[in-house]
Amino acid sequence: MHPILSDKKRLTIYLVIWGMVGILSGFILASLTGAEFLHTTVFAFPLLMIYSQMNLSAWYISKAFPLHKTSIWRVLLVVFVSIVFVSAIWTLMAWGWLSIVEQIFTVTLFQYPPVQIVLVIFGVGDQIFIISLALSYLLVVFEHSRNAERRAFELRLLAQSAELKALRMQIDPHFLFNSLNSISALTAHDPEGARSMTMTLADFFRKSLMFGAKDVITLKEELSLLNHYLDIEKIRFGKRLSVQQNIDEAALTCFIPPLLMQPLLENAIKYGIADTLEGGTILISAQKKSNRLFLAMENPIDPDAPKKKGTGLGMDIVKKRLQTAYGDDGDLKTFVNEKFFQVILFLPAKEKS
Amino acid sequence: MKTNKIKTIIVDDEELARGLVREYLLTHPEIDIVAECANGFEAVKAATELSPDLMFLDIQMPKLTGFEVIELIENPPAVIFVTAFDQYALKAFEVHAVDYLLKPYSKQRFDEALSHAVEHLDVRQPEKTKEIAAAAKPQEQILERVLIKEGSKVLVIPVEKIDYIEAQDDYVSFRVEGKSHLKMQRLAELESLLNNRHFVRIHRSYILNIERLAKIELFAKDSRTAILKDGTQLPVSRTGYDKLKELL
Repeated sequence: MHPILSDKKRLTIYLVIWGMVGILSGFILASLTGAEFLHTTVFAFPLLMIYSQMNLSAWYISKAFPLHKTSIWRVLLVVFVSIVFVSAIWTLMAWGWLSIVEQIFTVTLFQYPPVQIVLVIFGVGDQIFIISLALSYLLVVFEHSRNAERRAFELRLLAQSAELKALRMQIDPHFLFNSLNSISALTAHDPEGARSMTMTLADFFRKSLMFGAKDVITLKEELSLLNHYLDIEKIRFGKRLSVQQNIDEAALTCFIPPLLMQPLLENAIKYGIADTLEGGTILISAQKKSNRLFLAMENPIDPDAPKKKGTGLGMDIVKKRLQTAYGDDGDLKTFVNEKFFQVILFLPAKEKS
Repeated sequence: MKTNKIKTIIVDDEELARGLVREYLLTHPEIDIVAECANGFEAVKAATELSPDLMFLDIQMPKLTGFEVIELIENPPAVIFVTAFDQYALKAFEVHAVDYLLKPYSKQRFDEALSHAVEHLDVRQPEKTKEIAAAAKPQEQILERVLIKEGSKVLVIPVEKIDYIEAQDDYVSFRVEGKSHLKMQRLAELESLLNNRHFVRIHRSYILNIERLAKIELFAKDSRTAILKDGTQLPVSRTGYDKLKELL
């Protein structure tokens, strides 16, 4: 849509300005050449009003050959050709109109050689059109950068909502249904156990909802959540699941994004315990060294399992969350050999939220 | 009287989950629990040795899924699938009117599934069970491991350990670490399942893991031989050679 033609108000202002320029030109011409103001204005006003319409085409040219998509030589060529073409048409019309005006008033308006008159008209015409083109190109560039800004903003919004969604979906539905099945199994022969598992499950969900709503939680809080999760999984997997924790006391008060380690533990149990016949030991460790925090999760793996390419969606989300929170200061790295899989989170040790 | 009992196997990797099936079966004296299995290997072994009538089969288990267990049993019994959450499988179960239980399940739901399965024991069709298992299995885009049954033992072979595969009548022979393993399957089917950037059908009868290829020699017009790193020589057809050329 043309920025001027598409808006009645803008078009009116545009035409009024040109009209004023037309009358002013009549005045200047009269005082420069000594011709009568009425005659020069009758000559100049309609010509400039027509030219105002021709200048609107500048916008279409700048839109069709935008600077960011077209080579500079092509733009220069198009600009040059259009200037010559438009000015030439305008000059022809002016020349014709001049003779008509001179016939109507039976005067010779300008006492100059015809070549000079034509050159002056052409010169004025091309300069006006150059200004129109320049303004149009500026407008297109401005519009382009504004669009780019808006797109970047939309992308950020999208990323944020995707992150929220991912956070909400982090807890595996298998976990819930399998836990409920365990409770159902315990009900008949171990009612006390069924009740305690129900409580642990409720605590886990309550805490994950509570922590999930916060921006940051302490490592101590995150670990308490992990321990609830482990308590439930120990009932499900029995002897197959054992855990070793190696936690640096100084790290407990550090703040981290909530539920950061939870998906790592879920992963560790899935690949290290649920997918292996004998199960094994999951190692959780946290270390604080000067102002850096290192969080690690290690699990045994089935040596016959097919090697997974990449780190998987869960890991990608954790990595993204670290990068969103800490930029280059946060990272996730995975290490794998025949027997173990380890993931380490690197982040700044922040004592204040 | 005892011979009329329905021989049943319970398969689940979780002790508590097996306990629940056992408990629910207490009110069904016609059921005789002949085995409880904690994983797919045990399940295939028990099913082969005991030829049960009915099997409660968990789907998510280590090493072998419930579907893979069915794939490996020659003459599968009637099956009641048990799963916690598996949208893909549920759709297939609904379509094929299969008996399944969603964890956690009620005694009533359990009894319904059981009586339905028992009613249809006489008309059970092992081939249909296999078809359903194949349909309900999550469609892997690319085959990552091959399951082979040798006697009542199950081998799980990651595809990257395969050197080459040779067609032998109705069977295919997998060459892995100096040993050959037979499986009833068609080579064309395997070819379509394997990652075609690593496994190339070099000949009507051969699929080669290109990691093992050392060089290709021309020994007659339009007839080439692939020499593997361990010295094995395999024939290469013209189209096979074109495929190799494209990849390398």
